[in-house]
Amino acid sequence: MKKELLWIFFVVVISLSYFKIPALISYPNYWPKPVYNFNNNPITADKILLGKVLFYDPILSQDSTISCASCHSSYVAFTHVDHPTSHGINDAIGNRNAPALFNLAWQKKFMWDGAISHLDFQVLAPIANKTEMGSDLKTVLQRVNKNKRYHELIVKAYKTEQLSGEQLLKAMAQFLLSLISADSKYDRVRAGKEQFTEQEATGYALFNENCASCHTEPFFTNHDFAKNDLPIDPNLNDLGRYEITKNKKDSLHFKVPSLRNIAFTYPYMHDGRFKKLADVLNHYQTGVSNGDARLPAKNHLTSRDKIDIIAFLMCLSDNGFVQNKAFQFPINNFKQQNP
Amino acid sequence: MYFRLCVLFCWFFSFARAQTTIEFIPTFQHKTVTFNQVFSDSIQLHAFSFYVGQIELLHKDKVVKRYDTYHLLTLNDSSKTTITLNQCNNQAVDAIRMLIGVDSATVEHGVLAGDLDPMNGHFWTWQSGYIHLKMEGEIIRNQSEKKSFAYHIGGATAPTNTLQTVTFPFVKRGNKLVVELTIDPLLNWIAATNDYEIMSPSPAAVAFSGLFQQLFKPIMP
Ligand code: HEC
Ligand code: HEC
Repeated sequence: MKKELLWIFFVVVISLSYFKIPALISYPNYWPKPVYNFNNNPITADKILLGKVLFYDPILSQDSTISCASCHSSYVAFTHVDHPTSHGINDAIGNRNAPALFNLAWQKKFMWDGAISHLDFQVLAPIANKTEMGSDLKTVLQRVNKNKRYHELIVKAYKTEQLSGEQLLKAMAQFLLSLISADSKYDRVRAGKEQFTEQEATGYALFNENCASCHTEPFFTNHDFAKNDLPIDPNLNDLGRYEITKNKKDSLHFKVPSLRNIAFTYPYMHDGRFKKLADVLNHYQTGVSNGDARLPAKNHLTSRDKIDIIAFLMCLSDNGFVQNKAFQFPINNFKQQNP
Repeated sequence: MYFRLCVLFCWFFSFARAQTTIEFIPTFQHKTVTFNQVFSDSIQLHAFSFYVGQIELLHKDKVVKRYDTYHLLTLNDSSKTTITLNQCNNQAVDAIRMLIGVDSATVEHGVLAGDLDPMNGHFWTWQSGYIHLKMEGEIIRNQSEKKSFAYHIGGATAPTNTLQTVTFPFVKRGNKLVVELTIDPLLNWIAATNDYEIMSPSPAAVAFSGLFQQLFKPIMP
């Protein structure tokens, strides 16, 4: 009898531990497995929470005015809407448009030029960048370890009093990993719960013909770099992927962005040069110069096609994601005043 | 297979296990360099640090022991100038091989603790990669012109791979292997190129890293 109870106990524990992971990181069955190795950074609710509070905390910036959320707002799928390129401390203007943040567990390289090759290291870049937060990891750790807001969060997440650099980066990576957007109309159609209108279906077919080789389902990116024939901005002189690889063939190649939540994430492109999707489609109609064979040929898209494609792109909006309270400002953690 | 046997052997005779300390001493023209003090009338060194990893002990060109850990040596901090290796006492070793820097596989693993923690300031922020070697200081050129120099050498993949593997004789004094780190070739770089700063993976960084081969000279007992 005792033995049986023990067995039941084991089965319960094992199945609980099994269900715990999908609850925090869950995704549709037609998605591939994440590329992020969760074994090196096992997800827990406490670590995600610690990462979230850090994400929203301006003490990460040198003058305590800018948090990650200043440039990555949950209401617009974690991008920055009001400026073509992002604004940091002292109103310094960066030279790139803040990308939307979601489904990062499936992404291998980060930044428009792929400068960051692992999500764990992503947070270092804005903290140190002079036009973003202008601080450094050591200073941030000293502030965080001294701040009362964090004491309990750190103890719960890591059973320690003092957070290390490794732990801080991993906790922030966990919050970023938890940002999964998988409930757009497109997903509901795939799950058989909804149907496209006729126009959306036409747009989907046109999209598959002209766009999907780079903006590939189900992430609407092939997670690669490409040149989509945007003319170079002589003021920014940004050569994209070349800046990292120093390989001539990568000149003017940029990360292929996901088109999920594209209705929320204007302005568009690495420098935010287009305000509207109509501008983007005009570019793919008349701005292309037949460099990359995957791009539609010049003047191949008709005015009608452009409208239909935009109708389909609207099906990639995940309202549940941008309204998800779990991703928003953790007000309770910021209520108590700090020394 | 050989490693495993060796490990087993070490474990079995753990009472016979010894530790070897490797100490690095920076020198210029064969004199020990004191940090933040003028030497050779014109040069001051403020910082010198580098990663060492993938250490292998060799006997007759065969690997007899390999270590997986990386060490960050900071010669301007007297508490961080040595590496301690656990080793079998009765093992014949005639040479040591080590990687100067941190390879790309370690970067792809994600953030790590200890000497590899990015908090040590030896990891670039604007791109993912460790700085293999840092040298910073000041030099007086043409009698009075004071110029600072800073070399942050990194890059772990082609075409800007600056990783270097160095091999030198394993000659111990007691339990200690003292390695002279002759910085002469690195300082000669300034006169040869007039290049006072390397801060990213680049062709210059690759050329600079080629000099690492000349730096490590064990002091004969
Ligand atoms: C001043 C605005 C600003 C701040 C503050 C900021 N970011 Fe960003 N973020 C950007 C910009 C701009 C980029 C793109 C930079 C590039 O490609 O060179 C970016 C890129 C990213 C990416 C890569 C996304 C991708 O798909 O490639 C992630 C992840 C990210 N930021 C997370 C964060 C986190 C976490 C913080 C807080 C520690 C933060 N950001 C703070 C503006 C900002
Ligand atoms: C050859 C690959 C390729 C093809 C084909 C392609 N794109 Fe793109 N797309 C890109 C790249 C690369 C970028 C980012 C360019 C940049 O920022 O400089 C981009 C950016 C975009 C953006 C802006 C996204 C953002 O978040 O800023 C939209 C919208 C877009 N593409 C829609 C389309 C549509 C619609 C089609 C089909 C008509 C299409 N793309 C075909 C590679 C491609």
